[in-house]
Amino acid sequence: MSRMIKIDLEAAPEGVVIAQDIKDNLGRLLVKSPRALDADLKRVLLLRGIREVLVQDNSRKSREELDMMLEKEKESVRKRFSKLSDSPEKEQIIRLFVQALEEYAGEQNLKAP
Amino acid sequence: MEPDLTDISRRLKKYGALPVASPVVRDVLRSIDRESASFEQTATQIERDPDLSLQILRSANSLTSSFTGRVHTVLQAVKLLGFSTTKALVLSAVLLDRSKVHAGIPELWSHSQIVSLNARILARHLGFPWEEEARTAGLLHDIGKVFFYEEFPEFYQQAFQLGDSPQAVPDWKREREVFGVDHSFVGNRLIQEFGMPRILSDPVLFLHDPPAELLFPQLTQVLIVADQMAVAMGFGSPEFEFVEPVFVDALHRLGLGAGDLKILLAEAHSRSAMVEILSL
Repeated sequence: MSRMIKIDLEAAPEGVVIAQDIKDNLGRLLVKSPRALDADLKRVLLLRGIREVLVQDNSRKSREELDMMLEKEKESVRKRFSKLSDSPEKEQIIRLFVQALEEYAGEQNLKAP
Repeated sequence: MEPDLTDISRRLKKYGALPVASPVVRDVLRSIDRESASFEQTATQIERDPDLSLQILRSANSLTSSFTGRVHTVLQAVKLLGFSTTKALVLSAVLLDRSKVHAGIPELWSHSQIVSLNARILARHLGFPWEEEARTAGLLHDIGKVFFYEEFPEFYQQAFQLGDSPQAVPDWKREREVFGVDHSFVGNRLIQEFGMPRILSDPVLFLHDPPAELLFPQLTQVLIVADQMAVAMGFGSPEFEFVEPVFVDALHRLGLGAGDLKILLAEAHSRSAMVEILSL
């Protein structure tokens, strides 16, 4: 089951599912959950002063999925440099890109379930 | 019939006259162009258009929040972005909105945002005094492609299919072969026609094959590194997804070694996540 996260409404992408009823300051129901966010709804909510919404987070991936994605991305990095002539400098640059990716992925992995 | 230079020039003349239907956009651009431009007045003009306000807020959060924290008001956004970046965003919003139905536009926008972010990180790392110009030039560097995507969609449909194949040819080379000019040339013309300064238009012109003598050599090299870094990070253009040799040369010219690149990449990866999240 997906978990719920609170995000800024102005930055919320269209299509995310609002996971909790939204009420205004007077407690009046503005949106009954679950409901997909669209441009019109977002505009109306912003005009009503709503700044944050609780949405379903379907982006969470397992550690194995993240590892697989990382390996695939590392291959892609090497491929993106394939039109450069081979040299020790090219290899060093690729290593730096791969290393940065691994470090970043490592930080994200720590947050994975 | 194959388009020739006269045809491109004629189309460009029509294209450069932006069909700014929205009086709000017209007023915002006028307001920014005035010598007495104020942040408050510009923000008030933008707030008259809810869609434009949201777009500016979203972009401000993508481009600055990882440096400054969340941006909640249009006034905050304009102050943080500065006049030239705000103007670039408004112009981009008009152009991208007009051409959003064309293939490649969403990828182009993500690419431009990452290049903008990288350019700012680089300018700051190198201690250059023109962070805002670097960020703005990053946003606008491929604006010429919007023209080509819109005017010659069939040409790019073919290019998109080959973008990551070994047969892929750099977009600018193919454009020069077919049209006589490339997107950098067109971008340079458009930026000038939008009334933006040469510090923004010149580096765009020389992004792919900079001559030995340049008017803004450091900013041009920063933009080249920022552009190629974005490609290597997976935020390239769909018609050519490979790093070009000009990247290594630009690293040398800026005196960037392995230690610098390590720091820059760590920062670029963490900040680009914000752009990705907000571009979903």
